[in-house]
Amino acid sequence: MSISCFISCEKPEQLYEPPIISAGTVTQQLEMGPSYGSQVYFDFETGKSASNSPYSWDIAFSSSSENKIIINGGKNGVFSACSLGSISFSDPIDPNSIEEEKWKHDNPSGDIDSSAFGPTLKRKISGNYWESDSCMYLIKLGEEKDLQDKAYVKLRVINRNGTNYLIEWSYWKDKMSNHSFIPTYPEKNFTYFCFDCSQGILNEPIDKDEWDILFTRYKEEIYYAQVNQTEGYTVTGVLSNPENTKTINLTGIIEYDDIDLAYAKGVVFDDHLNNIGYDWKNFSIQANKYTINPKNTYIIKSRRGLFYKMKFVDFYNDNDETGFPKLAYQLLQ
Amino acid sequence: MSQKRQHIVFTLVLFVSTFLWGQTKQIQVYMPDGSKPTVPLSVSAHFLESDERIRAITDETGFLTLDYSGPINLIIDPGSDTIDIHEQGFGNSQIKIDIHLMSHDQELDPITITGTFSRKSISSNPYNIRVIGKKKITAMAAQNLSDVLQNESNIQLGQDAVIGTSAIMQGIGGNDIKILLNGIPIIGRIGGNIDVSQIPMSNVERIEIIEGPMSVIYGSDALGGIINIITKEPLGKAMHMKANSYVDNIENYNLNASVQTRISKSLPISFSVGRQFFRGKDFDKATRTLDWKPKEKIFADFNTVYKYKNISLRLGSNFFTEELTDRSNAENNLITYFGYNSKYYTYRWDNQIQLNLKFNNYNQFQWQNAFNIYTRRKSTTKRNLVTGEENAFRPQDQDTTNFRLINSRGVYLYKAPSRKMDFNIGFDFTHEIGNGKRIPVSNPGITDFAAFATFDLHPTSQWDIQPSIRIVNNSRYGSSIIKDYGGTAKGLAPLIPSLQLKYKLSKHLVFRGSYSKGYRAPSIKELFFNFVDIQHNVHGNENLNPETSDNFIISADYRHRLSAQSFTNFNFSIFNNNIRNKITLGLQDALTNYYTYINIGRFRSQGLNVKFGFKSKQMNYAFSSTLTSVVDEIPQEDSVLHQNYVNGQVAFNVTRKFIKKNTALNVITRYTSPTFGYNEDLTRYKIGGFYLVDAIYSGKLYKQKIGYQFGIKNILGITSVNSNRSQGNNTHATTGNSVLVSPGRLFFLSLNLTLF
Repeated sequence: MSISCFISCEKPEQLYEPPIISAGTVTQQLEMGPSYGSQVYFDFETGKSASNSPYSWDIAFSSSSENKIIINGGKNGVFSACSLGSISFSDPIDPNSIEEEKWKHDNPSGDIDSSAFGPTLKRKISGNYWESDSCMYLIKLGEEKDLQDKAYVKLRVINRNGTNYLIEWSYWKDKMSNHSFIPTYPEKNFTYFCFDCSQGILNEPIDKDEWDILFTRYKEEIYYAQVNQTEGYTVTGVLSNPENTKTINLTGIIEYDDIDLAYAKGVVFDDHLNNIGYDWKNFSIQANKYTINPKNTYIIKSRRGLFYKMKFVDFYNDNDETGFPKLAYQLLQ
Repeated sequence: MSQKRQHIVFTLVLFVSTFLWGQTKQIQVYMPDGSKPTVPLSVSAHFLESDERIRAITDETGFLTLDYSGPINLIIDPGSDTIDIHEQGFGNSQIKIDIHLMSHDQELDPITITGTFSRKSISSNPYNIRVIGKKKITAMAAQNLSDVLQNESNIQLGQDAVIGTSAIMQGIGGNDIKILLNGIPIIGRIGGNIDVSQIPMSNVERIEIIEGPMSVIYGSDALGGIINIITKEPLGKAMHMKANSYVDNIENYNLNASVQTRISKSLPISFSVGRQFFRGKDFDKATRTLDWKPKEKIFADFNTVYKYKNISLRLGSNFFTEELTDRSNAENNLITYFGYNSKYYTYRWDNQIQLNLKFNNYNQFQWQNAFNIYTRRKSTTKRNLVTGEENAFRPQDQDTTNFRLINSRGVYLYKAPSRKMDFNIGFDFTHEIGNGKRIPVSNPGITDFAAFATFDLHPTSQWDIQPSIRIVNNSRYGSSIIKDYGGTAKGLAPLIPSLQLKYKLSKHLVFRGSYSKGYRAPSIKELFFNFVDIQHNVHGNENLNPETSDNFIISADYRHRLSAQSFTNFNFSIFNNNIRNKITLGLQDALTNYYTYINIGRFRSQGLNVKFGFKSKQMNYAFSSTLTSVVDEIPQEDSVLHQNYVNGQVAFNVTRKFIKKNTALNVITRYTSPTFGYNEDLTRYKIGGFYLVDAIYSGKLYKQKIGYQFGIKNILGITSVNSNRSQGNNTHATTGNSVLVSPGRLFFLSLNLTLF
């Protein structure tokens, strides 16, 4: 008994059998970087990816006829916009007096009615000419304190004439406003605009017909039990290409290995861009690291109508750096 | 060979001198009823010619043989208190002396030291103090402090798989419970708590518990109460060796051994070493994570006491290390399986020097100095579960936290010859510093210097009035006297008063009433903590105010020896705590997940304790129950939010002794009522109540040289209780549906061997 007390020790852990990989499944690791410095566009058909910075723009203008205007919710935690009504640029404003609930951000589902600007270009004057409701918006850029003068931007969308948007804007303390033309291009989803550089940017590294999903930073509505309400929270996740890519989240509904083409053809897709979203990974506070939800499973219907099943298998690279999502996918045929 | 038989009668207040001559002294000690004792008694012998002192222990029948010539001054120590015996003896050859004890009833009225610095029986102590003696600790086969406290009705335990076991008294826990080792604070709090499962019981003599603030004596952190662990002193036998082993079916393997000897007759030493290993317990074999984590503890301590005339110098050193393994669940990246292993290493090294100068029977000075070291290191590896390859994980998953404590406490004790007024006056210096990845090295630590005084007034034989006061100078919170000195934060250290009243209605019945102010300066972690990464945003708050509290306790204590073999005791107490500026971790900005330590409004706890005991020759019954009501008052923008809940515990212990067989059966039951609390979203959660029942059979063989214990702990096999408490504090929080209580039913066997 004393000897067993003296020599007892932890049992060595038995080794696992290697996992069985479904035939046809390929894996791909993408690089957003440890501080999420890149957003990554991925194409299932070619397996190719392209990346750029998610932080170089403030607002973006859609090339589609939907006239959608989006703000960069992934840029920082407070990036948001609110409607000030029909005021002029010379009217003084006090951002601190604006109630918190008036600040809006875009719903990542892509629904224009749930965006910060909403359908502001409402009035269709002619076939490709729209005018706005003349509403003034205040955009909270969330700059540092020493840049207080540039912490907010007043902006009014004047019109869209064909492919060009016309906006009027100024930093919030300025009495004089700037007018900017923002051209859009049919091969891109959006043209991006940066207030500091005062010009439109072609930020998408590849054409909209060359990618299916985008790994990026965006703002999601999270329910905060502490205050019993939802708040915008910047997450790292996946949005689908609004140009015809459809996705469905089947986590907990079916196992990855059980999905075949017949099953994929039978599911009903919707238009939400954030079906894949961010919660395929969970952060364990105790372990201080992300773990992948082992049940995560998705089906992607590509722009050309091909079906893929997909799951995430890792969020770390070989150096144990976060921001390297690894996905496994298979073309269903 | 001549024999001289003397009957010596003494009491605590009447000393009779004994000078013993001869080469071999055979001493027999008798109990007041004429029977021989059933437990060993500690005896100190002072050889007057050589001025050497030794300590020895009688056998279990009270018999002791001393080989020495010349006069001896014997000091009998019934349990803890020392009593000098002086009686003239004759002859130069072997003598036999019978000593009839009529002194202190240690069993009914144990000796305590906590809060008073001098040894006092429970009935004479103005504090309502609870003592858990070695006998009771052994009877419950306790391996660590957690095992002991879980059988106490006034203490509630919290379990965390990694952080360990925390204690709550009077509804107050965390940083507000101070755990002392021989009067010196144990450092190394994780989540505000000392892990009480890290304190082995192998070398513990007794545990003394005082509920309510003891800040006036023990300073900060003693707001809710103190648990003082008293370890064994070396006795001075030429050689004394013991070994204990313990195994159970859930794979606890414990072993410890101790040696006591003496370098010279006035310099006894003791050394003990032990190992406790737990292989872990898993309820869900489908996962890699273990519900109860494997632990290996290794501990050792060294003690020596040097006594010369009226000087006593005690040196003690305790070392403890624990290795806890936390395995993550397995993850599959389609190529391989991998998982993470986190090892948590705890190192604790506590060193004490105690000097006791006894100038005469009325004046004494005690000086206690300590240097304690605590280190906790976390090391995380990533393991390929297919190949077994294991490498260090990210740098941010490796962490070392260090704490150091220097404590010096000096007390001058004066006992008036008239016994009308005693007083203690002393100082207490504490400097604690900590650093680690999440605690900046640049933090200045916290230094606390205090002076305190206690007056013990006895206007009549029935009344004992003990006012006390403590004056504090805290390096961050300034002085209670010179308001602008020292402190940098906005709170000021207060004057800390307390008043203890004791009224002895009869020799059996004692009433007590007390008011105590409590004070706790924020800890280093609460002030300087800084943990920011992709998911955490937790900060210390250097603008925290100290916690202060007011505590009232009223109690009645009835103790009555019904016969030589039986006695009964009954204790009833009610308490009220009112804590202001209670410190808690609060969410300040949900958007940025910004947490920091904040002072909340008020925290109140009220409740009552009832204890009843009866002991006869063969049977021992002990019942205790506690009911606690807790109210948190949290100021809102235009109102005060009240959060309230009630908890209760009941413990019942029955022991049947089989005298002829020299064995005993001990059955321990306790019930913890459902526990309530509040999640961060202010929703109320409930953790279900549960029963724990143990049955332990003990006995001794071969002239009591071999002791054995076997039994079943947690007979009902309770492992967890239902809970709807939120398990996390971020956007990925989950709601668990159970809380772990115990690794399950366990069958154990324990053997102990006394070699000399």
